[in-house]
Amino acid sequence: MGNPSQPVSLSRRSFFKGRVHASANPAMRPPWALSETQFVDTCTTCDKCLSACNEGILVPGDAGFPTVDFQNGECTFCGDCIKVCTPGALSINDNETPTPWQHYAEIGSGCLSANGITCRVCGDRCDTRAIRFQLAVGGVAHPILDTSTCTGCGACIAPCPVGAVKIQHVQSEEHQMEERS
Amino acid sequence: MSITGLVIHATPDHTAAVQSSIEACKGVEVHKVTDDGRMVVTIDNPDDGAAADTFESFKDIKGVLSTSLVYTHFEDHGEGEHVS
Amino acid sequence: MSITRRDFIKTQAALAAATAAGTTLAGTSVQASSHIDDDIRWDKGACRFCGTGCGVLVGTKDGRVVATQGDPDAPVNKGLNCIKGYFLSKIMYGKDRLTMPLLRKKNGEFHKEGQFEEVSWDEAFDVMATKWKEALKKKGPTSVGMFGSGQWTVWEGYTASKFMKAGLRSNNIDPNARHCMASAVGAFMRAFGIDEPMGCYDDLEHADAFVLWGANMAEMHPILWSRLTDTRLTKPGCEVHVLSTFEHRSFELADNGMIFTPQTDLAILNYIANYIIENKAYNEDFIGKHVNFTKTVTDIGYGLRPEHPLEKAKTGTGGKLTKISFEDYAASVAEYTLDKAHELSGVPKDKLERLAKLYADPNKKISSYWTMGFNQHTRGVWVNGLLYNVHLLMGKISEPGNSPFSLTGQPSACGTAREVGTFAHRLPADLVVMKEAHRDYAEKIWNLPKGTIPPKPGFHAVLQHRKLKDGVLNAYWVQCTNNMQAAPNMNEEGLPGYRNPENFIAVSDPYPTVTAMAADLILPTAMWMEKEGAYGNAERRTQFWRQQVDAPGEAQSDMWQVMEFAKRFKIEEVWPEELLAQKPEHRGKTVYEVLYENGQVNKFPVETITDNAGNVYNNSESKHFGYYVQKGMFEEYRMFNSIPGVPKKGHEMAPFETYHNARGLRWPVIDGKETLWRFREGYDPHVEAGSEVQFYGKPDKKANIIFAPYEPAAESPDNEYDLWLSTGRVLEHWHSGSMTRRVPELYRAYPDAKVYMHPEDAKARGFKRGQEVMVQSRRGEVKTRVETRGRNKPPMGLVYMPWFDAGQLVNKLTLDATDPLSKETDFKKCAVRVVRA
Repeated sequence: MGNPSQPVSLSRRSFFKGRVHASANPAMRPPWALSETQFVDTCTTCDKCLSACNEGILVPGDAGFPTVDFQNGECTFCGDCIKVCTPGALSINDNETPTPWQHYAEIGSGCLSANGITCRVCGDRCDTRAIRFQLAVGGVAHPILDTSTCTGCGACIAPCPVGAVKIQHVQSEEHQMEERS
Repeated sequence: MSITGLVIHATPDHTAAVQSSIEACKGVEVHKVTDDGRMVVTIDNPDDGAAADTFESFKDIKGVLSTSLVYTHFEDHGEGEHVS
Repeated sequence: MSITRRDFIKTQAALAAATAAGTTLAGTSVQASSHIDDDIRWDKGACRFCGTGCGVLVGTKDGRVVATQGDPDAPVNKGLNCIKGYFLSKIMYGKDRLTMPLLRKKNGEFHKEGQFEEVSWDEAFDVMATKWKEALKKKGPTSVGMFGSGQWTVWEGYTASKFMKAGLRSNNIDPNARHCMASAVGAFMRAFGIDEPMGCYDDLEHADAFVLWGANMAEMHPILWSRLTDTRLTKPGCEVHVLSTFEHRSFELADNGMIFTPQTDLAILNYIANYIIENKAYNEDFIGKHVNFTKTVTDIGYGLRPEHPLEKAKTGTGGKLTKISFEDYAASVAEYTLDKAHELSGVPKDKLERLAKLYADPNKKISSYWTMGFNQHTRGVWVNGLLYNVHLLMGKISEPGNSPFSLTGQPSACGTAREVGTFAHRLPADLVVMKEAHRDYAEKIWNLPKGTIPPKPGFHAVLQHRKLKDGVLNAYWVQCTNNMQAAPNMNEEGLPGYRNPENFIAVSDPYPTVTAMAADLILPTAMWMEKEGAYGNAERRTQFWRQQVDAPGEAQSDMWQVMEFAKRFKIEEVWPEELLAQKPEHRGKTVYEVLYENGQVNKFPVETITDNAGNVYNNSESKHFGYYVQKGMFEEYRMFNSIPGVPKKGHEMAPFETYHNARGLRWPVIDGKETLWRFREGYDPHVEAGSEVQFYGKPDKKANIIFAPYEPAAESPDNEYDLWLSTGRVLEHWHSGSMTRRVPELYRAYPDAKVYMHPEDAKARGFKRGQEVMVQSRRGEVKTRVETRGRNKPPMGLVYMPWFDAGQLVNKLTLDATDPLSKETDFKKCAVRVVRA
């Protein structure tokens, strides 16, 4: 499907991560949402999850379906949105995957540290220490993101002074192959 | 494709040898060598996996004190490669 | 993808790497930026924030500063920058920027309890001058005062100091550097007889080992930390030792990290000296030739109000030094054994011993750094001196890599606050008001009658607040600093002083700070690139910049304000007849005319100011006053340091123009050459051939080793207030947050202050992370949130809280205990408790 005449996509990849593929970002659903097709079928856009979210990160998206806006804060995985979801569009038990969602943070090339500027804001906000700063020659420590411990909570997104931290959706090779075929 | 900027620090007595070793690698350019053995290097490679391997291999060259990644740029050719 | 775009990206990659490597690629740096937007005019400047003194390139477009970047040609930072410096371009454009003078009024007239209303400069200065003249008439020159700043430009500080000391004949002028650097100054004068570090930042590459004493360089001096890190990672055998009362970001690089009980740094340093002597590791030749041994008066109190029980209990006063022998000195430190140092400090013995061995190793070049941990200390002058003792015993000083180095917090704490004499006891270039010869010299340079400058030091920072509260100081002007937020014990001293009905307080600031809002008159100020300026950084480097843009509305620079205000005083109103009789030519003149139209300051005509590329720059003050004001002030100041026969040699500076073309120069500048290491032959031209080392600030050219013992802190935790409180800064915010909190990106990065606490301490009190709590001391309380993770990890029994947040005024808690010698407050130690909000 690649078309070289198309304008280039500017999506970045995690340098050390190897072969994880990132898809162009679909709408980000609340944690423990069913797969997108199922979710859209099940969600009644009752908006109960929006008011249940203490952090205020759930906002109405396209067609009124709830989406996450990390500019408002982070997900604490408190589960309050699941408790109020009567139709079961958000559910731990019915979910194919045990994790709340399939995304992680990604630090883009706009990152100040990559440009000789001391800033460690994202690392400071990361509760699971998935973002660590490695001291380097030249002196400006560089962020290293460990996607295996990143919970995708989004705490690092809003504070980034240059908006260099983005959410990246993950899909396994196999999954991707399936969908492609 | 990927373009990577890095700093390689070599012991001053090995600078010349290190420079020729890394220049032998595909896509590698040495832009500047300072008196104290620091090299400003870019790796330009169509495949970012290969760039990572190249970068890793520098650490094994004799005389290299440290390598540090400073700048990375990745571009994917077209969105169609990925499932949306 | 086109070749051009690929090449462009590659250039970006190479540039970023070159910057990190501390080098530049010929002909690409600035072009890469201008490549993006050709309409931006780039010029060199100095960063507005810390004492590091990074060079920044300032990008201006359509009369507005739109971008800044680390200057690749600046020797200090070589293109690197920190997050604050990256957002410099935004500090002048906060939404609530002041553009008109504001006076408290009721029914159209000034009223102490009125609301702020916009007034003209004329009305503002009319009211202010009336109040100042009332005070002068009623109580004399000691009833007026000024509080200035290490963020003033060099000539702003000079102008203000001359106005107060010579014009109004009041030594009641002190800078906020009193809260920051005064202990370092005191120790420099006592040990070496001349202010400021002997070494320079080049030591960061020359040293084999680094020791941090109460300095969190990783956050507070990130660019210097970059250089230190680089040396640590690339030099075989290099090690880093970090001492602090809590764990912070600099511990990441520590080979030997040590958390000690507050105040016990005094004991640790004496233990190191004892170790060096016991192991006969000292440099006998060096101490024989270049060192005197002395001891200082002890049990000197805590600089509190005289009626405080701690002041009544003290047995000693002042800082008199008594000569002792080496043997006396050895006997004095002998009680500081490893056991004793360990017991007092709580630091494991092996760590203490490793540190002592490092200093005692004759083959290791050591640079020691400190900032507020040493200076904000009730024994600040002592503890600075104890570190010099260690370096002097080993002869590890004044040569590449061997460097005891006092870092500074403000961009011109050295260049302005210290060098031009804005302290209550100082005159330009290390001269002091107490010495008749120094006053005589200043009066001669300034063409003033003998006896103009009063011999008694004025009120220092903390004393100013006490005297305001007591109604002794009545007319007061604060410029370029947010002292209501910064000074200690605001509830009991600062605020009652400002709101005392007997007093009239004027505050000059670009923004409505806590201090401005507590005043009676607010004067809008031109800041940073809105005026031609000069700063002097911690390594004695003087750096200039051109005025890049005009100030908004009617905002005017601090220098303009002082000079215009001086026009409101006839010399007969401020000088007695016996002075006028000596210089009858001054009769009938204004203070402005006597001080600034004296044939020296107004000597240089207005010039068209251009850079090498031919761009033309404005100079608002010169246009207004009709002569090149900045040049006149600087050249007159140079008469204190650069003409033959000055009372204190060693402060030479280059002519004015030189600095506009250089990336800063480190004084003394002699025959156009800067001095990197002072007091050492071969590096410092003032040192006579064959003498190796001369500490020429002292008459016998010898430095003082000064014994001082461990003495406890003014206030320690007890049953009621069970935790130590240390206050401090964060990377993202500087100068009380008055500028950085107005940059949206920096605000978002670190929005509000919080109290850092050990997880066990939080658990014991039933606090969850993020919970709202009250921090309480005997003097006040502050509501904040608990942080048990993140960049600072206090030990049990100590909490840390930054003071940048105007919404959480941590100085309601602190005690105004000061070092009795330096008068600098100890912001690092008081007792608090933390309870549920």
